[in-house]
Amino acid sequence: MFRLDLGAFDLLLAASDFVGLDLVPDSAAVRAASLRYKGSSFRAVPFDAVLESFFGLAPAADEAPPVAFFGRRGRAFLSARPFAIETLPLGEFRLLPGGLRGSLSRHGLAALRFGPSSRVQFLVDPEAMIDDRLAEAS
Amino acid sequence: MTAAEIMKVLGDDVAEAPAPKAAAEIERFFVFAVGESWYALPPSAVREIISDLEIFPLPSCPPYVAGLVNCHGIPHTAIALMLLLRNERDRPARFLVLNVADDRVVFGCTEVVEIVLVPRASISTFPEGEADSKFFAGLFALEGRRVPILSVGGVLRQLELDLA
Repeated sequence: MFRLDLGAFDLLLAASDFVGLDLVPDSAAVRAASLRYKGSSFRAVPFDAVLESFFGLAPAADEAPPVAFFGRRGRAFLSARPFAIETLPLGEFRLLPGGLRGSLSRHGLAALRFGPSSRVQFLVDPEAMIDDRLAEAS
Repeated sequence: MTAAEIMKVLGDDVAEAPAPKAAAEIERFFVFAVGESWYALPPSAVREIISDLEIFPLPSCPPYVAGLVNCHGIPHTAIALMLLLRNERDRPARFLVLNVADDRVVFGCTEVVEIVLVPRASISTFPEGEADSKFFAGLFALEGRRVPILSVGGVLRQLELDLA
């Protein structure tokens, strides 16, 4: 799992949803519409802005170079939030309550885990988050 | 394993405890306070009462969905009755963990009052189509107060409509 620290909670990205990740230290590359990774082109997605809009978060304070998470559907999700790679037991994940599950999964929230010190960790499908935003915009 | 595959693998064994039909002419109700108002539920609708749960806010939900709470490791939707029924915000002191088929839901309330016995004949109902009939299954009087009987199904239907 890739764990992004969003302040009050964590965001988890399933590593299998990505073909890889890389630092993007070049500021010009950060603003580019597409990024190349292992010979393939990926459309750049300002993932932090998506998350800030969706969860109502304040922008990240630090100016750390972003990491690009290269998705399997040709999108590169850029985030400058602190992140870590962790192995987490599947048995600790929980589906969202039934009444909310359908709606929130359409927005990309797949499941959650109550982490250390009751910190909630949302497993998201980043492609679904973007698809949902594109659907809303169209 | 992708996020979609993890969703498929995760089971959700939701317990269901259907409300038994009382044959007697007396019905029992669990009475609780939301702010200054009292409301009632059939005791079978409430599985557990928990105090002081942390609420984790959720995006893209109606305002009366306070968020998620962690009940014994299982996420439950926390409905803020104060906001839904009275359009006021508060920090619930108690959470009523409900028996609901296919869902995990808690109602936030201010305090638990008591379990009362109410003659069925003294329970009035709301005419169909009346605004109050959406969230309430009936009404009775207790200690000079009007105590609406909350319809869990009505609240969850509203949530379903608002999320559609």
